[in-house]
Amino acid sequence: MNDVTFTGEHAALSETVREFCAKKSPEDVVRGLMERGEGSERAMWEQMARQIGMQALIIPETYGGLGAGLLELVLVLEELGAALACPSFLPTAIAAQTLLVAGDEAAQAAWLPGIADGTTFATVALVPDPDAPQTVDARQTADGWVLDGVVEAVADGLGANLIIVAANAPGGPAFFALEGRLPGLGRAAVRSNDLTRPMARLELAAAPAATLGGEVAAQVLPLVVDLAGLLVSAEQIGGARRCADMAADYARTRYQFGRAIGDFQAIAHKCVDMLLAVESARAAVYHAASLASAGASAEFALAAPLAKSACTEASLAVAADNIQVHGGIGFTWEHPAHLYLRRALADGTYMGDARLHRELLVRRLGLD
Amino acid sequence: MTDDITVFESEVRGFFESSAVDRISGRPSRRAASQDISLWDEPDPETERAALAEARAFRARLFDAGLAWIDGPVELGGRGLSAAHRQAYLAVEREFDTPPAHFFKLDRVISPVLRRYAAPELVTRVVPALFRGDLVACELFSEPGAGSDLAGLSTRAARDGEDWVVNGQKVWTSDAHIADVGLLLSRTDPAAPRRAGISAFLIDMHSPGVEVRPLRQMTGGSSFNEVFLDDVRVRDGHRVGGLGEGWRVAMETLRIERAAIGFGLGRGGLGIADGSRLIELLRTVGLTSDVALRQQLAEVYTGFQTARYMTRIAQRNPEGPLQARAVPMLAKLALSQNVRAASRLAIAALGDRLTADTGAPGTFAWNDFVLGEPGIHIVAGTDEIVRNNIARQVLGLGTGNAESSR
Repeated sequence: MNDVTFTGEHAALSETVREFCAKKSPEDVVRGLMERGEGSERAMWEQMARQIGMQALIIPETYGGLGAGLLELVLVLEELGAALACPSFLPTAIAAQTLLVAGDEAAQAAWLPGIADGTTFATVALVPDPDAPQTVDARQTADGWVLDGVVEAVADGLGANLIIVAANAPGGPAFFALEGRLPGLGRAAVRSNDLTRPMARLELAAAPAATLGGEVAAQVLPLVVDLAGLLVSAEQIGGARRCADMAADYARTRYQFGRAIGDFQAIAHKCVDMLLAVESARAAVYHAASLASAGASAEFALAAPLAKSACTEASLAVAADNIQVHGGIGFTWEHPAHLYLRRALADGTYMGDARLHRELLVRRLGLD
Repeated sequence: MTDDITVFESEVRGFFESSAVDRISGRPSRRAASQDISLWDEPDPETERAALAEARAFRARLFDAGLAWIDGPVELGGRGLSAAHRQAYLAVEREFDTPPAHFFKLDRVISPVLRRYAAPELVTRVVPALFRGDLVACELFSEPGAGSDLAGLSTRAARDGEDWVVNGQKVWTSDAHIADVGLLLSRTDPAAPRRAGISAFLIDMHSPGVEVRPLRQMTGGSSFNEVFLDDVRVRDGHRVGGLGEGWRVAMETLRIERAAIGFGLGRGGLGIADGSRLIELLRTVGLTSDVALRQQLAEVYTGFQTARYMTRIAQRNPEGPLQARAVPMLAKLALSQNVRAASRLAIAALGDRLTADTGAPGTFAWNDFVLGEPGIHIVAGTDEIVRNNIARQVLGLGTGNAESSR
């Protein structure tokens, strides 16, 4: 078993992002974006890139990045998830990861510097189930590749200026890159249960696209799903941690029957079970992230779907229990508890739901 | 890995080879070959006596070779090496089919407590003997009237010159029938507040007045005992901690023990935590393509693995980000949940093959696991008491019934 080692630098990184979120993305900012149906504010996005270098973390230095590892990235995502801050970061991080895995140097040189310096919002549209076809088809024309089809539920699909699409190509599923504003690409905002991250439907009709890594990319789809699932997991545990903290805080300070409600075992034990769910799910994320950084792929192929299903279950349970610990106030629109349940519901299906990742896990354990 | 550890590993390997311990590779270990799936060690007395004799002989050789207490201090017979050396030893040990070591599981639990609280003369005599296997220990804590509310215990120790005279009854005592010494909690001052009136002693289990009766569990087997103490004499020099300090001694012992339990299932968990036994079960019953069971298997595997990662990460990173202080207690709760989930999977997969023995191997035997499962939630503090302790000590929630409350 690999060993996960945290240093003072990791703690400092978490603290920096936590402070940034507290200052730049308090709840009223999150609600403001939510009411306007917007993803991220460009000003905040640029500050994240310039002041902290969040977008540049995992991007290699040759492309203007910082060359850090997955463990650093998951710590950042955990803090953003805890604050529901900057919903464009996760889809953009997944896109950067996809570009890195697909290994197309021309595409990397074209797109990674823009992600690193905070000028690009990006997203990835794919069907994560290896048994299901993609919903987009790719065909080669005299002028290059074009894409046809519809993709539902694309996170930040309206705001992204780089969209990476997995499409059925003659040699199997392959990745293609599209610029946000192109003929043949229709984008429509759709309603989402997660009010803090806008979703779009993409309609592609002979949309011109550039292939990413050609046929080679067909083989990396499972790895992209694993890595993307891990990044979603990191955001999930941030939200879950916040919910567990919120519930314990409330249990300490809310008085009924003349005592703090946390004096009652029914409440105290619920809070303990929330802590257990959060700490074990976090461990799964840190474990998988350190394996991915070490490049140990057979173990990572188990650790990633394990993390995604564990974090999905934990974040749904903890977000729901947080509402119950709060009672009536937790069921109001004004209280943030529902925003976390909404995020947990949407993240639960983002890059594959728990059912899919459990199935991937048992297959890789040897049950065909 | 440092050269130092590599050299040490070859020393360990050399010891096992020269001691004619078989390698595990290429053939199943004793336990795997036996198809044993029980959560509790419940051997018949004769088998246990033979196993204990073999284990003791091996333990003594191991100790004399400096390998039984690798990270212990030299003056007490330890090797004086690092925890990393011990990890290296354990990794090599897993390659070999060594005699069972569970008889000596309290060596690392009771020794730190003795070293902190007992008289130096007692420590010198007892601690090396615990690690050498010369002495087997048990804990005389729970009583019929004092289970979760341990501070309500009523076993009395009355002063008589240089001795104490003990009267009372203990229950749920593992290994009392094979133990040579017992860490006893006893009331020395009935007038003092509950906790302040308790003192701890290390008693000789072969003393006159100590009677051990096996307790039959719901599994049908026996791994615990009742212990009757009738005018048992113990020297004041065998007191562990000051008068009235017994509660602190007990809490420290339980803290160490629970952490050890939460870290893994021990022998009974072989093949459960890594999924292999459960996969084998689905193959045995021909249900590998059952969608619901596949999902359940993934959940069970995930539960065991996340608990393992949590423990490992917290041990390596005491400063965070995980709440390292909470993790040993959380791990005990996780174990309870995971064993229950594994049991439910076995029940679902086996159907009536669990109800009535068809004679097919690897089926009805799962009753040993399924019927042993309830005890996991109770041993070393019930799940509810562990939750109370976490609520109070970690979350600052003031439940009235935590062990740490006044």
